[in-house]
Amino acid sequence: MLNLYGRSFTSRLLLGTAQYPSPDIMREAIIDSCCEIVTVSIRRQLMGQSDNVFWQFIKQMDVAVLPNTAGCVSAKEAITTAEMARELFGTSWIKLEVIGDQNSLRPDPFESVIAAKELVRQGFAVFPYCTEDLVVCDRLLAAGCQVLMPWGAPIGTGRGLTNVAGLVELRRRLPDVTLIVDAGIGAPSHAAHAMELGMDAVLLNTAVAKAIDPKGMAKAFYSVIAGGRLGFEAGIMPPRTSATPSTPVVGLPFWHSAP
Amino acid sequence: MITITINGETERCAPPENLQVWLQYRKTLPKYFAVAVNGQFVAKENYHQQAIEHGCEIEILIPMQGG
Repeated sequence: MLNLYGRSFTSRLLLGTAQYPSPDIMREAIIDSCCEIVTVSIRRQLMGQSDNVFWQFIKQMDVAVLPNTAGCVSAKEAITTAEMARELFGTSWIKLEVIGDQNSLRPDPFESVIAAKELVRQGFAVFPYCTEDLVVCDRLLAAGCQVLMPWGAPIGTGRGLTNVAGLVELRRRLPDVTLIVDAGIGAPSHAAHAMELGMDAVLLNTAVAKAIDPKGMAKAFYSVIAGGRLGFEAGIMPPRTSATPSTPVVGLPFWHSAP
Repeated sequence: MITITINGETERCAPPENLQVWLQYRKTLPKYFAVAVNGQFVAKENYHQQAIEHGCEIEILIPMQGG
């Protein structure tokens, strides 16, 4: 089971709700992914938007919502956004995103820590988007975060895990902290890899939403994430530098007739 | 008349008694929304205490898709 701030979940896939071809396809992808948590955001009301079809769809589904602070570039913005999200969505969960570089969408560690401290003080359950930087992760934990969301790669790139050694080290140094790989996942194999490394869950969006068949891709991610976790729990063999026959060599016939 | 900014758009209006009164006269208020004034979140229960003055910047935000 995946435990997040006192709540338990069967699925280890968290799915974003943006960029789908239509609200109907989004809903079908969520259902087929078997995810139990979806991410949402808040934005300005645009002219003519009086009926919020998106939110009506989500409200009808049996999923928990994880609002984000996407687009914020300072702790102050993120805190205000989180406060507004808590009222709108009726949850104290917040995916804390404070962007420090608009080109790579790399998180701002300094502002993230400031925001995390204040949000925890206000009673939020904070899910901070971060990198695999151990020092920053320690600061976020010291601020009161119980979950960390290190990136796999920059948001929307679909490059997979670009710093495997960093994630492995993070898992090794923080064995009891819930780690959710967030961002950069492009293919099901990337998600499986994250799970095989011992990550607790994966959050993705673009890989499903921008697939030719979002429903099919949602099923694919569901399968591999479950499989990757099973593999991790079963204990993956360490790699070897040299070949070793898997078939017993005892009783090998014709050995003496080799040229 | 005062000038205020709503979601980045400038508007002129008569000085309202407070945020709650101002919202009551909005024509296109969404069903689900949250409000910030001058960068500070205003909880629904505090609308009647929030002054709207010349130069105020109001953000009305709604649920949206997100990753």
